[in-house]
Amino acid sequence: MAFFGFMSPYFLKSKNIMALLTAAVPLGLIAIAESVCLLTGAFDMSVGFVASLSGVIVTKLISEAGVATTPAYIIALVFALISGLVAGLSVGYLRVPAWIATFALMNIWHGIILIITNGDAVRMTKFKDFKWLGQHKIFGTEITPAVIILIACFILFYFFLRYTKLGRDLHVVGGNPEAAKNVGINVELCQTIAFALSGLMSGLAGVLFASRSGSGQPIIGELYAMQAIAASVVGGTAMTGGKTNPAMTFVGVIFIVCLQNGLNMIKVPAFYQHIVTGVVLVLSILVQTERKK
Amino acid sequence: MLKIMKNNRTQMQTVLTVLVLVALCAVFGIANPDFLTGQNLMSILLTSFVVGMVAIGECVCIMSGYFDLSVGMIAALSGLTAATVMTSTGSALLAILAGLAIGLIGGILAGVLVSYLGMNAFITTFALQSIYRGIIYLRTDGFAIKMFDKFFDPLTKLGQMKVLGIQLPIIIMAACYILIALFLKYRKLGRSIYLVGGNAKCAYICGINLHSVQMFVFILCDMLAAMAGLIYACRLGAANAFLSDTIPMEAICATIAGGTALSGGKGNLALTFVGVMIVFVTKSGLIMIGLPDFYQYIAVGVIFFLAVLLQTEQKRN
Repeated sequence: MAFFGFMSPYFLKSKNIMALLTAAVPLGLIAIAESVCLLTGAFDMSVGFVASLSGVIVTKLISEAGVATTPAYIIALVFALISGLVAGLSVGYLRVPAWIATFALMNIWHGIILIITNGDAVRMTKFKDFKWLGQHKIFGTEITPAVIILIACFILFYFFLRYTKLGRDLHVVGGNPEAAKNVGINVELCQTIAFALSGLMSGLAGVLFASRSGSGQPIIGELYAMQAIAASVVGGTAMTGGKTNPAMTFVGVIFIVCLQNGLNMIKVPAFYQHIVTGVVLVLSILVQTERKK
Repeated sequence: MLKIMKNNRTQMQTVLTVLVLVALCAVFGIANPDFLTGQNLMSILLTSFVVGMVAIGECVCIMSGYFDLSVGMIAALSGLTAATVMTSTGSALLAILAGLAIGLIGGILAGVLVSYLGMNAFITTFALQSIYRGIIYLRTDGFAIKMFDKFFDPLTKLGQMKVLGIQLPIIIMAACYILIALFLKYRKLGRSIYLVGGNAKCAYICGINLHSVQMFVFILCDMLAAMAGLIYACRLGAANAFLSDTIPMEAICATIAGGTALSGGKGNLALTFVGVMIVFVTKSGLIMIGLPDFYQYIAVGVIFFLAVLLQTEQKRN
């Protein structure tokens, strides 16, 4: 952060910091999703496309089917939850390896997104209500409801993972599934719940993104899975499962978003973000692997 | 007795996989009479070229217990590099070597990270894929490099060459399948790949150098991808930056559909080829019955899912 602050005087202005938080909303929620899955020892590759499809669903429902704003949001989130449940049931009960189940789902959602939208963005310029969550400025500050939802989710998950029985069970399932079974934890159910939560959070990310950008974007999803894994791993989530900390994941998310925003500010082309995120991911895994050794 | 049953199961699987392919052909053949013409079947073979080549590498990689998700981007990058080198040096030979060098470098990089540094193969190659993608976009701004000029003739003529009326890519693909299948069966290094995938500890005790086998697998995998990307670019007369999004997915899907064990140690190139055909017959068939190409994503996802599910079921029994 100091580096980018030095390179561009605009970087540390409060307006830009708020912009960072706003930009961190979708990635932050998806990182929560991903870290819950990583906690149980599984990857969820479908997060980005679940987010995309939820955004597309909510915008299509409002703009074309004439559904009111709130029900449209709810329907999109229910879809996301179901998507998570499908992944969770396949992983937990059918024993399909997690990355494959979610990779296959990702492809299926990708196809459905293209069928629904024909690859075009769904424009929502006319619908003020819809954009409230992502664009309304509370008390004239730069804080939007979406930012508050993001922070609330992080706090919620912090307490959920730490202080509830289910949250702690998830740690055990990821750390040592055999032991978890022996102490009477329903491993299959825990895995299913982890993926369902992951789906729900990704869906939330997608609808909030749609609300902020005022459109349903068919292709926002491509980088998210990797960025979210990178953010979680930078924040100390173990790739092998059993260890995560939402507070640190949040730091990881801010790190990734800063990197992006900072690179934009010092006028590095957007293409470098692919390279930078990839390098960050490789390095963070490397550090983690070294430590384990 | 157990052995016979086991053999039977493998045979059952072979028969089943082939039956699925035949059934698919029959269904699409009935839906559209043009489907089962020789011309269309040849065109399916030709479109399957890149994924078919990549699937060989992926099959070997999965047999050894790993995945390589970076293959698609390696293929695209190799074509682009060849086109670039051709433009700046004018030598077709140098261009081809440069394209293949991309595969070599990519393979060494993935091999070192995964084998020597012990990083998770899946996520590492996923990250590498993103890095390569960034490099491709930077180089091309997302456009294809056209090679329509007379200047590129040595490359494009090669890509469009026909031998005995069969297109060169098909012949190369067939040769690669046969050679590598023989290599896996009859060479020591080939057989040690099965062993490393099946039981790495046992392989180590038997005195197999794990690192060198793993390095070899990644280099082979990426070299095949580079070769595929290169020849594809030559045939098309354009090095396409967007060639590659679905390649690793389709190749892994084909490999699994061909019965390669996800857990490593078991795989069969002939069946992998049948798997490739299942994927591409479905893709082509969906187009021939008039569905937009978006449905292909869904179809591949479903095939992938079913193939893995079958395999997991089998293991449990």
